[in-house]
Amino acid sequence: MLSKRIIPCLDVKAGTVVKGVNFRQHREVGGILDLARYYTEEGADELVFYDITASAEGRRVTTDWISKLAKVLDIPFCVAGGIRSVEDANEVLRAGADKISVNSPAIKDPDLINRLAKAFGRQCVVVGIDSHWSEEHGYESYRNTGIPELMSKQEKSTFDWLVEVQERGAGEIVLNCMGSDGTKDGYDCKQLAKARSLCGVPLIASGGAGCAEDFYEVFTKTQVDGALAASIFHNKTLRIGALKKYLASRNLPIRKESKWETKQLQTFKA
Amino acid sequence: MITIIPTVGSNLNSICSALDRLELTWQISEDPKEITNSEKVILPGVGHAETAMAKLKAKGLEETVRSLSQLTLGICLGMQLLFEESEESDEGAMPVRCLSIIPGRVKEIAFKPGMSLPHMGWNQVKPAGNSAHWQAEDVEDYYYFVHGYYCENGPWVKAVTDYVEAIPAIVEYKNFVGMQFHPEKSSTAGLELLRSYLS
Repeated sequence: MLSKRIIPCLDVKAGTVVKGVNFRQHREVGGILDLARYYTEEGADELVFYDITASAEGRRVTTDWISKLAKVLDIPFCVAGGIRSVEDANEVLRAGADKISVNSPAIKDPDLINRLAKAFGRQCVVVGIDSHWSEEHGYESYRNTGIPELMSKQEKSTFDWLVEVQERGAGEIVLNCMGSDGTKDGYDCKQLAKARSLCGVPLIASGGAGCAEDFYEVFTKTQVDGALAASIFHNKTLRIGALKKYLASRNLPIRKESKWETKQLQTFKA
Repeated sequence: MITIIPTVGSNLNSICSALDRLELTWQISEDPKEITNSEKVILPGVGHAETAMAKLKAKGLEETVRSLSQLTLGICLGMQLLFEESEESDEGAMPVRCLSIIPGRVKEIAFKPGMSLPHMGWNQVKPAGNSAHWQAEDVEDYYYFVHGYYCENGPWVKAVTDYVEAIPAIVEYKNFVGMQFHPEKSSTAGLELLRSYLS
């Protein structure tokens, strides 16, 4: 059975990993390669690296750290930030990323999704949607969320956009619920359940994870394929190993440690 | 020496790193002579079957791969190309002719409500036949899959995974081996499986 993916998200700013609260007040948490290694050993199923200021600053993600990552990592990883063209994506994929994720540039130029899917196959193309709920307008998607001064919403509603990006060739969608991001109050299950019903491609929940129960809740209430989190993993409030054990004990399909790793550990101890 | 054919795989870094970890010597080459003369061959594949076949043809490698007699490992799309034909062609067109080494077809996974496509993530692989390269209990593990098409069932299937229906995960046919998942992205389990075929 296909297992539910646990995905630590590493927000990258000026070569280090940072994490903000409600998309503001970024705090430094560590070096990219060190954290990538740490999470792989912890049992992360996949890693996502967001160059959070690239889009808003009008530059592309740099690729030197991506090739270094590709040499170290033996699990899949996705890179996002400032990918505006097929050429940009090609450089990131050639450097060794398994997937590229587009967000703000796809809002400005929706056909970018079609071009990327045609060039690399839809399995490489992830579309990130930053979504916020308001009393007046319902769920709306935003761009340039990395820099508060440049953040703006787009005309299409979150759910219209979610359907459109799939038609254009998105192979996976990360729905970041901004209202719950960084709050640790749990995932926005209401929004994610609605999104799931409109989604034929893998859907990843993002924003709001505060404890192991939040993951159990989002997987059972919304049938998302994976759940992404940052701060609770970075500050070690929740260790991925413990989280996966908990979810497996509650009968969710979770990738267990390979028997080869167990064997290696026994050899080390001997 | 293991030769990696780069023609239809865009991302070779992780395969090379895996071979380094296994302390195997490798080269990347599109030269028919170098490919034919190497001890083992890897054909990684990412993207679209029709485009991939066009690229192999353009490099004159179709016949080279077909006539290999040493162990040759196709990964993901590289595995699918070993088959007769694939439904992954340009929209509305006829199935695309592949390398026709394994006498089966490649079909699109049929969408059913509630499922996500492509089949993406870590799935459990179970043995479905005997292999000269591994013991049944060694191969049973989680591996990383990313694909929307799958190879036809047949006596060549050595291991399967379950995604609504049984999907061939490892095939062996004469000297040709195919893996639908990415062993180079499947952590220790993937590395150990590569060791069993390549070391």
